[in-house]
Amino acid sequence: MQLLKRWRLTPTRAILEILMIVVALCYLIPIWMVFSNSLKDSTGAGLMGLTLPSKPVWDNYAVVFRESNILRGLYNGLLLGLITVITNVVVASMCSFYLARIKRKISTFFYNYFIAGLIVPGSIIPIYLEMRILHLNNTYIGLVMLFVTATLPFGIFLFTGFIKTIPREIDEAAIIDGSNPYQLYFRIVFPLLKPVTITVSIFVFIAVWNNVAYYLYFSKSTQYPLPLSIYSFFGKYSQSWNLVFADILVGIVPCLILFMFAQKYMVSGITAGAVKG
Amino acid sequence: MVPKMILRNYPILFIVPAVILYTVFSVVPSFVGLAAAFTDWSTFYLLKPTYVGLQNFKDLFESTGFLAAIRHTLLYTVLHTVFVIALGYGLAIILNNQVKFKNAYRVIIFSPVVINPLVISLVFSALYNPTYGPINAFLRKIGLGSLAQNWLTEPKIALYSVIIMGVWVGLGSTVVIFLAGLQSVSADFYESATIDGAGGLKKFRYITLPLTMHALTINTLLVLISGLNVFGEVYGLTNGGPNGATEVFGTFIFANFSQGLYGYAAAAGLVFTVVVSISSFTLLGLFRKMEVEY
Repeated sequence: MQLLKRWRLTPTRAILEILMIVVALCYLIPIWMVFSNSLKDSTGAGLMGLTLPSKPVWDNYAVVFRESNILRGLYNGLLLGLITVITNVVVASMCSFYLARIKRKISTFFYNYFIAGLIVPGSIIPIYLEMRILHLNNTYIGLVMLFVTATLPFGIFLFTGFIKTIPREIDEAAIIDGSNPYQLYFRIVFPLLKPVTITVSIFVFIAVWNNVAYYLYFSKSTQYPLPLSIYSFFGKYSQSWNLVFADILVGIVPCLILFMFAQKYMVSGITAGAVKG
Repeated sequence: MVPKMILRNYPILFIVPAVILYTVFSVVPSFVGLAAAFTDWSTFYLLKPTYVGLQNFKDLFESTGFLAAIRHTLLYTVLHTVFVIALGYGLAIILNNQVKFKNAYRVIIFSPVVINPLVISLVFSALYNPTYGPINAFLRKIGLGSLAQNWLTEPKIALYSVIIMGVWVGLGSTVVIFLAGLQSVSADFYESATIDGAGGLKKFRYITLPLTMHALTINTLLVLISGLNVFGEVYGLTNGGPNGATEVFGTFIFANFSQGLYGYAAAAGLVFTVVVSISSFTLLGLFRKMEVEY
């Protein structure tokens, strides 16, 4: 019945609508400030007004593309993000397949072993020592190992929960038809994991993209992804807010566009993991 | 009982890569950290650390910086959690009650999740600019110029400015989880309550709150853990300044690491790990007891 009621404007409702508009403005004004000031000269942008300039300085973007390591940052971010995602999905889902299907003490032990990582923070200084001993400091492969490890507990948590909902009869049918374990896993089970694979991939990619600490501790500036290159750019051009804002906009617009497509999966992923879990 | 012939098809080899990676890059370092915290390991004695007993911990708790970092981290975590949960719950309830464009609002509030905290902190350092920043400009325009602040350079205020940004960032995922929880509550409950003559507050107390308890506990735990682990936001906005007023665990450890004091930083990290683990597991245990089944 609730749905059939016509939408009417009551005083309470008007207050709530206005409240939501104010909240939305708190999120939109910062973006607008970045956009409008990225089109001013450096004096104008220093004033941080919210009006559009009468003569937009599109040249700011040309300067940023020349001076800031945008392409390098994009390459680093995508390379590290994608390799971490692929490794995480394969390693975590295979592990979860065993943990979800074998009901012995060893599964419970290793499940808890991994899940503890969701709560206990990584010990960053000893990792630094270990990375130096293994000569993995400032290498892409070292960063990937650390990112996969850091996101493994989350992946195993979601994959194990999902695999438990897939009936075991599917495995048995495949086994009776003569699949070996690897065919069973890669041909039969893995394709069924598609929804949770999408969710894990998106969250792992964002975790790598938004990471700050690991890049500061374990990488050199030529390995920085786009967000950190924006921060370094600010270090050099902190007096030219017009250029900084242009760099920020170039850095966040691709993220926001991807977010538009991904947010549906993120919402369902969070919901599956958090609410029903 | 599952027959042997079936069980043979789940080879233990499947968990080996995950176990090796996780053990080598997460569990082993934790134990190494335990050992390193009791040595004078630093850039000076890079390969020959010597055992110094509890010296690092003694130095830590005698230095004003470390105790202040603990205090700031806890204050940040508590205020961040309270505001994110209260505002997130409130916004989710509003959005669940047929506000127009509710999906658009949800997407807008959720969007900072894809932006790196360092980039967000750059935007906020502009918003907080004392002379020209939009926040102070707005306050002056509406005649509240006396409320305009040196948001990031006044030691008494700086930590709260960081907290405000943290709430701005963290609100989105909290709202999403609360909304999912609220949507799973059947409308029938509210209808029967209306027939029984229950008012809005009673409906909240006896229907909404107990039925969204799971979302509430999960959210609190997630926000709490993210609060204790705060690093990028503080590093980008104030890097612990002014004069240590916003120093938290993360920036404290990084600052000492940058100076090459590895043993000392490892000791601080160990204290941090213990604090985070104890508070999180205690809360988790508490929540498990509180949850109700309907």
